[in-house]
Amino acid sequence: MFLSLNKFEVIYPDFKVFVESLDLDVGSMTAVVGSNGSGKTALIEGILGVLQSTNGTKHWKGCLSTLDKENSGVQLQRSGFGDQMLVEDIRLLHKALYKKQESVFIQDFEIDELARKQYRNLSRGQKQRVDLFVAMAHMPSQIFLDEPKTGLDSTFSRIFMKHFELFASNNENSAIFACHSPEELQIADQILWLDQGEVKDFGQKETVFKRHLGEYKIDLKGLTDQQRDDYYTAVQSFDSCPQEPLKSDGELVIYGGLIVKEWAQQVIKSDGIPDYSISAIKAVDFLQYLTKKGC
Amino acid sequence: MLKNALLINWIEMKSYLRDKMALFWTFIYPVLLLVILDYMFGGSADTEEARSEYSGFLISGMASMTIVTTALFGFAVVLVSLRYEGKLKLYEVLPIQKVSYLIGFGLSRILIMVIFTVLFVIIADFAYGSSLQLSVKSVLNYMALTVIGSFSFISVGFVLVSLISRPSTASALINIVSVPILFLSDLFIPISILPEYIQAFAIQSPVYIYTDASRMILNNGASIIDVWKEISLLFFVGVISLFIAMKTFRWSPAVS
Repeated sequence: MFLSLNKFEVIYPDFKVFVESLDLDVGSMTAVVGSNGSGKTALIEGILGVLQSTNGTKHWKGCLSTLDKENSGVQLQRSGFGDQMLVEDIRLLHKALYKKQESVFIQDFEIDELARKQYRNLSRGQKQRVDLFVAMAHMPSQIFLDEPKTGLDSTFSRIFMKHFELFASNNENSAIFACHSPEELQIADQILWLDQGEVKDFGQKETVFKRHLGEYKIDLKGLTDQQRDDYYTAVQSFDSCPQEPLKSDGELVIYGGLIVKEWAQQVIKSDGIPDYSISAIKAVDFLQYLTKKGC
Repeated sequence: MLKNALLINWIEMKSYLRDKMALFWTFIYPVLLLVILDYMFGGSADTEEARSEYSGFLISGMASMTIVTTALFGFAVVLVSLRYEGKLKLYEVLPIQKVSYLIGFGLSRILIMVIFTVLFVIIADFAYGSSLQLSVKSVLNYMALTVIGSFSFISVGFVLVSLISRPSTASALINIVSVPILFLSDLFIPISILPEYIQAFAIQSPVYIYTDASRMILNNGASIIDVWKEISLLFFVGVISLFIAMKTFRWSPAVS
């Protein structure tokens, strides 16, 4: 076991996050999803001990009550370093504390280019590069990231994803990360869905997708209002359609299981719907669904 | 642990020297105040000797004031602000002991204070021709006293950091506490002109104890051994305060 929480509670000003029970295995990649203010940051900071938990228990690898700091990498929101600290000083401090620093991270995040800059003078994206460098450059076996792609441009976003994918490919490595992007969610094998400080769902990624969206996404376009409303009513009678279809002008997006897929294929053929797509549920669909649901 | 503390000390010293506001309050403000006070009150001395004595009194007083204000405003308020802005919370998860960071951070301020006060005393004495009896021996004794004094005031600053969450509260509280202490510690106004009951209270202050010991060394040529009582008291205050601070210091602001 990598981490075990039981009746774990973290109080943030005027806000509470509560986890009844959570067991994460070594090698698991757990994405924490949810809307802004759902408690993702508070949970991650509570797990790390940055925020004090007010109730419950937390066990690392079965027995340790404290985080194995030497083998952990952490990137937090609204953190950072002293205003006048140079990036070069941060690099030196990192090397002294972890005794290990892979030069590939210095090159890839272009840390030398920022070396003489004071931390306070860095842009949002540059700060994120430094923060991710500090989290990853010592090749930890467990990492905790809070929306790691925030502020990164597409180049550094790709570079980060390359390192994150490499990290995830090692079965001994574990991660907990708050995410809003499909690329990050793609790496996860588990999803922890938070809503207003409580766990709305937790499980294997495919299971969570299936539970909330089914197995397929069927997008029917170019529909008349009559067709759209008829299909909408028809679909709701299926048990294998866990979510209400999403209606928009001339379009109906249906999430469901095999029976819904077969029904859709029949309708497309019989009614001659020219513009449609049927695909397996992907990370992007789940995140879009969360956004549309206001989650 | 020591290696990490020394690295933090080096980084923090450089950071402090890059901060223009901190430089003003630490290095420029005491010099300006010395010039103004000496101009205002030094001229009223009847004889050259009296003027020289007043300059010596002011120089050692200003040096003490700088140590106290740097410990409280350049250390305690800075640390409260860093924590309030979340700039310390990452240290909670870095493999660094709290004691290493605090020793490194505190040491950076102690070194700055010792370097400044020694240079300040030597240059001001030269410029004003004061009554201070400076020699290699007295300067070394003064440095040793200043290390202990700075340690004591920094440790008191640590306790304040542990107790206060907001920078605005820290500034207000430290102002409320420090202003009367500075005025009652024989820094610019001789406490001999104050009523006896105030004098009895004022001489208990660690700032007065430090200033009194520094004058014994700088004015009377006393050695560090001669002021062992004062040194012991300052060291005791420092150790007790540091002990309390180590137990109560948090990397993140308290959730209210």
